[in-house]
Amino acid sequence: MTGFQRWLLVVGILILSGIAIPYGALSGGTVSVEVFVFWCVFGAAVVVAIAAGVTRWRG
Amino acid sequence: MISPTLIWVSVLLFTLLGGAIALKAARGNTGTADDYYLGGRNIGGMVAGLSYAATTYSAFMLVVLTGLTYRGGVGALGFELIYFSGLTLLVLFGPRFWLAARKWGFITPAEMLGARYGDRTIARLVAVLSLVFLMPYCTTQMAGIGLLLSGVTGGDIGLPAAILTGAVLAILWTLIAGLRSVAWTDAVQASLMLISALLAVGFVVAAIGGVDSFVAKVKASNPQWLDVPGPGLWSLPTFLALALPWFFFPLSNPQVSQRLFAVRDVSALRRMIFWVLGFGLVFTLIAVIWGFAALVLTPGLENSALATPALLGSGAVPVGVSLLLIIGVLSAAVSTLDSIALTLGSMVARDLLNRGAGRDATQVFIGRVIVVLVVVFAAWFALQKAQIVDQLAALSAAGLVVTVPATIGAFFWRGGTAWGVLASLVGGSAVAVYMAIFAGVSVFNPLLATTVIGVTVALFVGVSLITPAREEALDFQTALRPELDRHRVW
Repeated sequence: MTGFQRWLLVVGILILSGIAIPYGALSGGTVSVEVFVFWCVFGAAVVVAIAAGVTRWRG
Repeated sequence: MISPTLIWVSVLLFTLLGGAIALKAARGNTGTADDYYLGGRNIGGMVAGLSYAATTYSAFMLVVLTGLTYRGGVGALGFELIYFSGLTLLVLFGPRFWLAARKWGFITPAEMLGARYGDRTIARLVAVLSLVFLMPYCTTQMAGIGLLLSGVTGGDIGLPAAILTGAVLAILWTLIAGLRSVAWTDAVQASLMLISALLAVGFVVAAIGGVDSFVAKVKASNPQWLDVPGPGLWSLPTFLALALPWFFFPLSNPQVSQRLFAVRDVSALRRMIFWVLGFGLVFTLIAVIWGFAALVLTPGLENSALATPALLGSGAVPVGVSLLLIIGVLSAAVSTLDSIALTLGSMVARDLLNRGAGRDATQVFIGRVIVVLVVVFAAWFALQKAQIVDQLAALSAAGLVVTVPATIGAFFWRGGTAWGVLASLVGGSAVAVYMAIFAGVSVFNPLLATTVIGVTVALFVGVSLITPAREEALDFQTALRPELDRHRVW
């Protein structure tokens, strides 16, 4: 698997998890800020994923 | 309520500041179309990033997203962050757009697609679709300004005065120096949006009693709002219906994809992306927290779009900060409006009227006329509150997504043909308009986005497979590969 394929796989899983986890595992439990916190972490992970894709660029 | 006089004084100061910046930006212009529409393809990473952010994050954020949080809770954050995750597309498409525009001198994304598939009709059609779906979107920006100014003054500033203010600013800053003045004023406006919103959120959280008290109050008064689907708005189908077309925003909306043509080099492109990411994430969180704060401090609003004016009038935010935030929301609307107007101007001049190389003065003149017409259209229809315009504005994301398969194919599939693109654009947009306007399928129904995307992809691939490519079509994959390798782009 190439670096690009690995990155694409991770991004795909990340975006799917951004929908599946809040609507699956985190939905309907006791009252908490878990969903809010999860999506904050998700946003930060998106930033990291994009940074991983663009830091290799040259000039 | 806030005194209209204070608001007008703030708007005047803002106008003077923006005008001075726009005039300074104009000194760099040489009169060419490249200069007017793309800032001479020499915009630095920070200005390009803030301009991209100000164009993307419109009045929608502190009016609609805040309202969606007020009405439906934390699902609004998830929706906006799925949209935010669409920025991953820039890793693949950012350098490709930039390199293609450099190599062949493209000024509009429509022109790029037309050249790639060897058919100018494609460029014309993309320009027409952009006009159909983006002009109503401009109207919603105008309506946002009207809602805010009217709301915070208890109606003392009416819709016509508010809309006129937005229209004058958008026209002024676009006409002065094209993208240079738009990008520079966008950068200042983005800073204003962020600083004012951060300050305002700080004050409302303090007024509620700090973070712990804020969370405790939301848990006690609106526990469902912390979960999905929440009180009902954010069912999974609704979430997907909204998030799916918006995910492709960086490719489908020409006013942002055209920004990729304007940066100086690949390093500036990378810096631009980091600025957009930082701004987007922080501003999204602010808009959602702001919605929750409105829920605590101003409960029981019938119209959730009035959450921001209600919160500003609640006394929790000092008048000075409220004024700054009002200017911030005005900035968000104007920066989106002037960017769309400028992009549509370039598309009409180059793609619809075919005023190409060697006719720079004509292109710039036509662009200026179109900028005025687009803004006047938006202002007029915002005043009329025409239903068809509201429907098309709501449809803008699902409508513009029909350009995405052809855009992806342009860079990653040699088998795409002009007939395939034309079929996908005509078929996809016809399905979108039929379903939303004639069959009454709501944009909150995932059937709309999935059908439009499915029909568009099927037509693009199916028709491409049975039709030959045009001889004059460009091969982006082969032509750009050496440069992509040199820049170490995947």
